[in-house]
Amino acid sequence: MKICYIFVFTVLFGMSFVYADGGEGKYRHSDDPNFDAGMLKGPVRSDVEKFRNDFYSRKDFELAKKQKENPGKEIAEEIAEQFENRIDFALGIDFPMEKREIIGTSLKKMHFKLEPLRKALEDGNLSKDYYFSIVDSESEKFLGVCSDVLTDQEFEDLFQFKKTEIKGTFRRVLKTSSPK
Amino acid sequence: MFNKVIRFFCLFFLSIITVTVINASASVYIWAMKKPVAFAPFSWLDHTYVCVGNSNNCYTCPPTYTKTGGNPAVGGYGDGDDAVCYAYCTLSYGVNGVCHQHSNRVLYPAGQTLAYCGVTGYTFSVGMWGTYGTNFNSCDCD
Repeated sequence: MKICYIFVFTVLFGMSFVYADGGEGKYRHSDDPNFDAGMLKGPVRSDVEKFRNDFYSRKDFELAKKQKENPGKEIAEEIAEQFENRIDFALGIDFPMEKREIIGTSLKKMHFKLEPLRKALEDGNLSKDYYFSIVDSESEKFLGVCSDVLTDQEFEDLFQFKKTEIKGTFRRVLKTSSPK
Repeated sequence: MFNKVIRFFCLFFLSIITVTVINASASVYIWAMKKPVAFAPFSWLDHTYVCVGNSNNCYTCPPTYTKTGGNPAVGGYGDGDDAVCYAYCTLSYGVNGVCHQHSNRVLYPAGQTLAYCGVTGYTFSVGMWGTYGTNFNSCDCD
């Protein structure tokens, strides 16, 4: 019996190091002496904001996990599902279904067009410049549809830029890859 | 008495081994950093990169782009080896995704995404390449 107590005590004692180390059960800190996980959690957020962030982040992750485990779905369908989460978060779950459908259809249409071109590019049958010019124009069309459906404020809440800045958005994103 | 001492030491070392195994398979902290693109007219965009375990082990796409500075965006605990594996999974910039999708891949073992931590330009990039990039299913890291 005593042996059992000793065993339990020793295990618990050992486990306490693991828990105390990371402060989060099985986790442990980095080996970096300057590392402070607490500081990396960013600015203090309200409980509601934190709950909302965690909830939607989990939703994104679970959706992608499901898609990864069950491949075979069209990439356009997958991206449209993922984009729905962005709408939920930015514009609310009560955002009108008709508007969602218009945006979703336009997004899928863009990807149905781009997917074979992407494959051709990956197979070396298409130049990158030509592919990017198509993506540029298709993405502008998609943003144009969103611009028609959404109010100025909704558009800005969703995309973080104004309707007047649609032109050349894809090129602007590409150029951010230039090393500084 | 001798037997008891032997038993005690056996159990003690067994528990030490148990704790070591738990620690060895434990996760590391994986966190994303966001940094506004400094030059106009791109200042609305946030560049992102992810560090695995320590700030000297950071990844982004394209790999030559900055991996220092900025503000913390999101983080969580996950398998560091898987995270590094995802960091090296092929992602052609602008074709399969951009730094946002690359960061989400590295964060994947931690179950976190950049989605709701105020990364500007993120919604557009999700619309173009999805949460993890268009070729995520080809990454074999789990």
